[in-house]
Amino acid sequence: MKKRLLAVGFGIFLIVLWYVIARIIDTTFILPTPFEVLAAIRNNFREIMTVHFVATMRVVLIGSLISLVLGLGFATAMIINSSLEKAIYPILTISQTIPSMCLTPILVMWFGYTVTTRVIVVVLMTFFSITVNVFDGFNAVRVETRELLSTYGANRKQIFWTLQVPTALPYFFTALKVSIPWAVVAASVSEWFGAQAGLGHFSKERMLSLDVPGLLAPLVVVSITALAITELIKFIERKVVTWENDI
Amino acid sequence: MLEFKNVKFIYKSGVKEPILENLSFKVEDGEFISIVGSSGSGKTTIFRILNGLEDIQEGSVEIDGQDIRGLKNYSSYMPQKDLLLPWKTIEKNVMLPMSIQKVDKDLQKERAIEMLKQVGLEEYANKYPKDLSGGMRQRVAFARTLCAGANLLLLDEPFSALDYITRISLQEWLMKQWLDVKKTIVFITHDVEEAIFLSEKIYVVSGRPITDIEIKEVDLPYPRTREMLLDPRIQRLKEDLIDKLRTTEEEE
Ligand SMILES: Nc1ncnc2c1ncn2[C@@H]1O[C@H](COP(=O)(O)OP(=O)(O)OP(=O)(O)O)[C@@H](O)[C@H]1O
Ligand SMILES: [Mg+2]
Repeated sequence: MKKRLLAVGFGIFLIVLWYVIARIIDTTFILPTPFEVLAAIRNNFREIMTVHFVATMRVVLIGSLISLVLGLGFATAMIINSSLEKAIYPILTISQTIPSMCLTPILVMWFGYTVTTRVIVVVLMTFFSITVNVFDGFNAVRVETRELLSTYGANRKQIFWTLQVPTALPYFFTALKVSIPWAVVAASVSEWFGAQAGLGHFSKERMLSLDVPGLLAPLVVVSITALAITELIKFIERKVVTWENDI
Repeated sequence: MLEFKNVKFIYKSGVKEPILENLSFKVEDGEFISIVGSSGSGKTTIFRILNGLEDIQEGSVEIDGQDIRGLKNYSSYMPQKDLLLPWKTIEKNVMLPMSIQKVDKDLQKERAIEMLKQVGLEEYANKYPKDLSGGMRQRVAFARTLCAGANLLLLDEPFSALDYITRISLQEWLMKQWLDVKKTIVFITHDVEEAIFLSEKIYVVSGRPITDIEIKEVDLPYPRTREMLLDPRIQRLKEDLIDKLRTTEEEE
């Protein structure tokens, strides 16, 4: 509770600091005050929420679902086939360090300014951490427990479902908490390259007309959305993972 | 009857020296046997072979004259740590061996409740492992071991992680369980007094490789009490065993 209070206090301090600096600079198109940004959100609220927020979130949703299916599929395939693991796993861990957003220009060349391009950016952003985390989770099973089950006569399939899947659940949630907020950011940024709608698209339009409060408004929406998604995932995690992993 | 016949065993990984060499011994049905020996001598290895987790290089291990390689569910293993699954209720944990063996669902539940009654924990059926003390968890692990259905129970230092008072009360409890269920128990321990209190015979293992086992009989009637341990004969046996363990420790 005290930690919460400190964080909230510091947040308020930063906003006040922002306000003070903005007042000193006193030029809206360089640094608007928080109130000007809030006003920009209020004035464009309908458009931002019904058009752009929806467009961005659609990309996030499609991309995340694809990553989920691919990630769980790849992690499971690597468990089933160990030569597949030896071939793929090292590449997966290395590719996590590639800033996937930087690949957007190439994707634009291949697929144009389309939803496909942006969905792929989101997939690239989330797929690796889901795959690697879930796979690590499958392998976090204690050798002794696995052996105990095999003394009961368990086959690999039974060990997978009774032991490896539950053990991997907390790892799965960690991956979601890390990657889904980034998916929102990646989807917005990729809209800068060109899109018909979306929070990033809205920002870019406003930049071209030097409307800085309007440029920042979707950014606030993106941040709040990312935070809300994280909290939602944490909430679901608390409902699902009621135990402490020490298998 | 369990029988090791001229068994030779080497771990495939690690040091390539044999752990067991030409080792033979027997355990009769319904006996309570303790295995004592210094740390790293190969006691757990004997259990791993019995469980089918390791393959021997020479000789054979037989149950009632049949090689264990052709048998299933002939022994139930209880490791030192309880290894209860934290996401399953106590009842579901006890049912685990049966659910793996695809026993009928209703029967699983019935047996699990029966076993929990046996270990005195039926009111904890729907609780989770984190709600139980170390001693209770060990009793649940024992109930789970019984549910694996075998007549030969292999207990590997099941009480060594518990505090002294819990340990001695679980020893008394285990003795009653054995007198009740009449299964064969092979019990690994470091604790000489524990071995004497519980078992009919104590198998002392020593040397690398282990080539034979020295058998000490504990000449006390059941049910036993702690006072019986004060008998001078038993005190001498205890000193004798401690000496043996000490000299083997020094040799290594
Ligand atoms: N999986 C393994 N691979 C290779 N060597 C092993 C393995 N497990 C045990 N060993 C070695 O075999 C020897 C016997 O080990 P074991 O676990 O059977 O001893 P123990 O008598 O049970 O000891 P403790 O009393 O400490 O439990 C040890 O030297 C150990 O290092
Ligand atoms: Mg051991």
